Formats: sequence, C-alpha cells, structure tokens
Amino acid sequence: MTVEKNIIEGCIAGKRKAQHQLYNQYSAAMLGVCLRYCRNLEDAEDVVQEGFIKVFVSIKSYRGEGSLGSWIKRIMINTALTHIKKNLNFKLMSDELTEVEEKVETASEEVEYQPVSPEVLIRLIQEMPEGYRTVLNLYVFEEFSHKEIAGILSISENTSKTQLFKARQFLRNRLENAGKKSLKTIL
Amino acid sequence: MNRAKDRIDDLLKSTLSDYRKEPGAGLWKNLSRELRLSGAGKSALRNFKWIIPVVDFMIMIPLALFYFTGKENPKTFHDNPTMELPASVHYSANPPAVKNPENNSRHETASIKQATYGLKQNDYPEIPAVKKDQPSSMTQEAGSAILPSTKDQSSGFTSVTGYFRNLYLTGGYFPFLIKGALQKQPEVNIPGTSFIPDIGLRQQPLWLNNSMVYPAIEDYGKKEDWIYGIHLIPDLIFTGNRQATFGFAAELTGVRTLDVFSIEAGFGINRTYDQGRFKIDYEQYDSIAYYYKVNSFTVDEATGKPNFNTTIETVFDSVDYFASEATKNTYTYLYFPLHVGAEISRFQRISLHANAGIYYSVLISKNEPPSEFRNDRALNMTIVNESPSRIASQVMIAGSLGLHFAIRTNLFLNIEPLVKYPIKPMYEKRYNPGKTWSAGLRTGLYFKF
Repeated sequence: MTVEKNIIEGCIAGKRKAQHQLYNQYSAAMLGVCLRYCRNLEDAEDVVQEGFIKVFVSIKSYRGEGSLGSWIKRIMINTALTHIKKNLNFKLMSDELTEVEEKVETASEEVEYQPVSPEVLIRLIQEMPEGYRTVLNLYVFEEFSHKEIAGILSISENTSKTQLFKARQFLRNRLENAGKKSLKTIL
Repeated sequence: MNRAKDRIDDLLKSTLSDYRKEPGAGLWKNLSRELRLSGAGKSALRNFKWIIPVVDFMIMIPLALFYFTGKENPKTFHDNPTMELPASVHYSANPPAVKNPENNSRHETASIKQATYGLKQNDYPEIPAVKKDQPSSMTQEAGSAILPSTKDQSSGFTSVTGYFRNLYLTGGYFPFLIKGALQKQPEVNIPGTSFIPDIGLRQQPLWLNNSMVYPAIEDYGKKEDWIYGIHLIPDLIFTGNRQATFGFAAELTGVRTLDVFSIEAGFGINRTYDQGRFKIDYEQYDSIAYYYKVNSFTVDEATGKPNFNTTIETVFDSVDYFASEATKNTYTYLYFPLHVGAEISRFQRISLHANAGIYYSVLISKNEPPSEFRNDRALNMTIVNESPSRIASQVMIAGSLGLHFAIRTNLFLNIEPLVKYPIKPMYEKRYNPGKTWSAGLRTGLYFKF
C-alpha cells in the first residue's frame, strides 16, 4: 500500500519513473480490458495509451475511494466507450426481439460449454459488430443493467436487450461450430 | 431489474475477467512521448525547455550588440590614427590627380602604415613620390580626387594605394557606399595634396568610413564566404478539408556561399495554431406539451353534468441535442532547415536568389485545451474530441525566391516568399486530412562578421 501511495504521489508530481511503475503495474490488465471493447490490438493499444494519459493528467482527483486498479479501469472503459461511440450506430440494427428469439434465448440457458482459451474468446468478441460487443461487455463484465446501458450509450433499453441477445447468439453459434470443427481450425 | 443469466456469460466471466496481455514495447515509448507533449510529467527535455529561448538570447543579444553598436573594422583610421606610407605613392591604373593645398599651414606629414589598409604594396603600380610642400606634377591633373591628409609634416605623402582602391570601388562596384562614406572621416592631411572644395557629392575625403569600405575591398572577388541569417516567418497552412491555420517561426541559419551558389542550414522554432473541435451529444428534459390533470370532480345536481377540478401539468421528455465547440490548440515545433540556393539575378544593391531544400521538424510541445461546454440540465452528455492528432515529426520539401537588398556590404535584408510541402500529412492518417501545404514570407537579415 505504501508502495502504491508512493507511486501515486510520484505521478502527481509528474515524475516519469513513477508513471512508468504505474504503467508497468496496470498496463497488461488494462490492455486485457480494452481488447474486449476494441476490434483489434492496435485500437486497444490506442485506447490504453489515451487512457493512461487521462490517468496521469487526472490522478490528482483520485481520492483513494476504491482500489486504484478499479479507478484506472473505469477510465479505460470510458475512454474505450468514447472511441466506440464515434462509429456506433444502433439504429441500423433491429430494436425488438421477436417471440422466437425470446424462446431461443430461454432455451439456451441450459447449454453447457467447453472451456475455451481467453485468446479464442477475445477473437470471437472482436469479430462481433460494435454494438453487440459493447453491450455484452457492459452487461456481462461491468454488470450494468439494461437501463444503465441505455443511459450510457444513449439507446433504448430494448435496443440494449436486443444487442445482448444477438451478441450471445453470435457467440453461441461460433462456439457450437467450433465444438464441431475444433476451434483451432477456424481461428 | 432481474439480470438474465446465461451460460455464455459465465464462460466469458470465468475466462476473461482476469485476462491480461502485455502491451508491445512501443506503447510506453509512444505514451511517454505523448506525456511529454501534453505536459503531464517531467521529462529531461521538459526540464530543460527553458534553455532554448535562453540560448537564443545568449547568442542573439551579443551578436546584435557587437554588430550594431561596437563593431568597427580594425583596419580603419579610427582605430589606427598613426599612419605611415612608404616612400612611393601607389595608384590605380587610372589614378586621379592630386592638387597642392592652397593653405600650406594645413600640410602635415603623413604617417600611414601600409598595413592599415589591409592591402599589399605590390598590388598596384607605383607613381612618383609626392614630397611635402612641393607642388605636385599631378596638381594640374587634379580633378575629382580627394586624398587624406595627416597632421605630421615630417614625411611626405608616399602611398595612397588604399585610397585609390577605395575610390575605385566606391565609385564603381559599390556606388551606394558613397553617401555613407562621406559622413565620417579622420582629419588627415597629406603633403602635396589638397581638398577639392567642390566636387559635387564628394565634398569631403572619401575614404573615410573605412568600416564600410575596407570589407568591400577584401570581399571583392571573394568566392567563398560564411554569412548568417536571422529570420521571422509568418505562414499559412492549408489542409485539404480543414480551415487554413496560422503559424509563426523564428529561425537562425548559417550560409556557406560559393560563387553564386549557397548552402544554408540552421534551426528554428515554429508555433502553429489550429482549431480544436468537440462534438457534444446530450439529452435534456424539455417541455413538449401540457394537459389538464383532473384532481376531483363534482356532479351538478341541477344539470347532472360533472364539474372538474383540474390543474395544468407539463409534459417533459428527453430531447437529443447536438452541439459543437471550437477551441484553439497550439503546437510548437523545433525544426532544422537545409537549403541550397543560387543567385539568379543582380541589379546594383538588389539580387534575386532561388532556393530549394528540406525541413525536418519535431513536435516539442502542444496545448490542446479541453472542451468547456457546460449545461447543468444535460443528461448523458458525451463530449467527443474530434480534433485530429498531429504527427510527431515531419519532413517537408520547400522552395523559395529570396529578394536580397544590400543595406551595407555585410548586411542584407531578405524578403523571401516560401512554399513548403510536407511529405507526410500533418495529421495522423486515420483522420484523412487531405493534402497539406503552406505558404509563408521569410523575412529577416543576412549578415557577416
């Protein structure tokens, strides 16, 4: 804790060594988060870079409420969302779930999946349309409700639900196909 | 709200919640550079950035003082009051005649050192010596010549090599020097010579502002030389799909000349202004309608009709708003020019030079203020910075036409329209900025010591 405090104080003072220490400590985890939100490694690294600049510029405002890692992660996610919003166009996608889709989703809850490597899952997530990926991340990993997601992304709750449904379906199809063919051959 | 569970969610969370991937080594390097540029951190360069203007001042102020106030050519009569001429008088191929003074009391001995003129004795053919207080055989030929005089009568006037040479040069190759040359002169009388009272503009001995004349002698016909330049360059930068932006640069250069050709290199600081753009997307609850809310009612027994007790209720809804905001960004570059040039035309004091070269510039600092958009009633506000990022280093090719005006033999005013064309776009590729070029006016001085 003292070490982290020293790093924070160093970063507040603008010391490059402290900034490098903070970067070394959190960059790998933050890149892991950003890879889920972005469509490729290059974009993810751009977000991490921009996010860390925001971290270093605004670290004075970190009050020690919650862990430093969570605070940095929040900044990274916000930065990623800002990037995503430029290209996001949910209006092109269907807003409402059909009755059939509702049933399919309910039925699929019981399916068991084989363990998959993180790299494979990341690749599958990155292949999704931007809207699916964003809602899936916010719902599954950040545990926001559809109402909150609707607020964050300026969309309706129904749109959020639809995006999540389609994201799951996308993953389900890919994983089932992969189970049949073996994931390695398709990736 | 109940969260719908799915096995997929569990799979994702269990696999990716703690997923880590080491970034490439270049990421910290880029980040470090961005931190330096944005000022969020102290780098070695940032600590010593103040050195640049300090060094500029340290160089420029002594140079300016040296040049404009204290500098006098050591080979002048001002600095060498004791002058000694050899026994014989040297003159140019077509020497002007000299005349005896009308008032002998003014005749004094010339003691002028040959070295004072910076000329070799053998440079010019000799003419017979002129002795003190003796009418010269050249007296009758006296015309427009003006000779220096000294206050010492012990020795005769022996050599005017430098003088004749001066006269030739000031009247010929550097006609514009005459006026200046007439202004200051030492009181020097040479036996056997006299002032010519009325020779038009040349009313006083001519030799005399040697700080101007002698460099001319020494530089005449000289093929190789070093000169130095200090310039200010306002310029406009045109980018395909963006508004033209303004820049301003200050530059120090050294020029190596060889005959009519030159090569110029140095460094400069360029400050460029650009417009930052923010897109603001927010929602705001606005009144869109109203209705009458029925609070209660009573039935009129006489008519059987109801009487409603109502209040007006306003209906609000969230309305999407889009706004944009422009800010002023500032970028500072350190750049290194390298030009080659050639004099293509000359007329008296004016000469025209064509130049071409390259500029290598490095972005050393930037100031991109954030959006200051505020709206307390806004909900879900999203501010997106749409200002394109600038690349960190740039190579530009440049062409210019310089108009030189000789203020003095060693000081030139330069006015030079300049066009620069970056090899790479000024902004990062993802912004698709279109072709960029700039037009500026390089204005300043060239001087030599």
